[in-house]
Amino acid sequence: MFKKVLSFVHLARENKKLKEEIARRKDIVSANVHQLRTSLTAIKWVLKMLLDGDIGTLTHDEKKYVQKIYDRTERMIYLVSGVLEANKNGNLRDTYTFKEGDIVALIQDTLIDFSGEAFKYDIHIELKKPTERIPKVLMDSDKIRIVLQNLIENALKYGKSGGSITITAKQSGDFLEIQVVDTGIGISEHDKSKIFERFFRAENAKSKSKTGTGLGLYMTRHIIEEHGGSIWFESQQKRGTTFHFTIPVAR
Amino acid sequence: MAKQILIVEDDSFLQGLASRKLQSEGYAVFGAQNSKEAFALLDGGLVPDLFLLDLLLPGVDGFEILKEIQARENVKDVPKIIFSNLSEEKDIKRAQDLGVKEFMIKANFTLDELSEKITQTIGK
Repeated sequence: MFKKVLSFVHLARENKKLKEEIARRKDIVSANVHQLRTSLTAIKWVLKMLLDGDIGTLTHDEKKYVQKIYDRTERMIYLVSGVLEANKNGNLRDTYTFKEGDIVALIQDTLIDFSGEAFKYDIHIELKKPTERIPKVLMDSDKIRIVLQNLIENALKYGKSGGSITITAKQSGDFLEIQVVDTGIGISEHDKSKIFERFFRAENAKSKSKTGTGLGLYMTRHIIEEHGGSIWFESQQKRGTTFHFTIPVAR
Repeated sequence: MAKQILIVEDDSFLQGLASRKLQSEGYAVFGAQNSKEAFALLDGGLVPDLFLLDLLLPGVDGFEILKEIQARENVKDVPKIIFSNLSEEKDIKRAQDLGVKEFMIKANFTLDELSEKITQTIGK
């Protein structure tokens, strides 16, 4: 009986310590996110001033590139808000607008944004032309665009120079399956089970790139699950990784 | 006479960008980086047509500034726009309880949109 009471007291103490640690980490994340937002605000405003011609006139090409980084900045601001929400209540924003959409067109559009980075990393990215008719899917395009960006960004960041990223789409029963195949550094056996956890970054990823919160894949999985689909991957260290995700076909 | 805006923002770069924009839209902009500078302007006779307030400030925060503004007869009814990168519901509610009708998250708006909101609130 005495042992049970001691156990209970110990548990209660550990629970209290855990809660305090969680609160402390939430504060750290909150403070850092606020700083991030402040810097992103400055970047966004100046880029908009450039686009609007408030500080001189850009050439057509210059405007094109400034527009791209303005769009990227907006996406970073969106992601940062997502981090704040995940930090606050463990949930990601749950407002989804599902509409019938052409996912092949969405992939093509998303890939346009990556042409510069692909060149920089010397990695060839292509969407393999489907051999069969691809039906429309039921999706929140903005959210699925985030999924595609996360997967392609990871594949680029952890890819190898001279390598490739190939995206395919095919119907699989009531779902459409998208594959993102890369020839990058792969994921170790040790890290595979944790890859979708919040804030997790694989050891070999940490050594390759200084940046990366690890939140991208966590959010990616959440978005796919909100669509009623699933996401999984295969990987071989030093050889590459294939991410698969499914989305329901529109009826 | 141009409408007058008092902007309280501790980030001097952001304050400069916002001031530049609002001045180009025809407003007279007075800037402060903290509560001391803000109240020095008010004590010196400034009665703005609008307060543009950040919340996270060094020393005395934006909420305390709001309380002080509410206690001053000559400025308590001046419209206030909170312009902050804080976005938690508790912060928004706290600001609303202190008489704020507009709460804008800086990162979500361009300077054009800020200017439009100000024009909607106080005209030009």
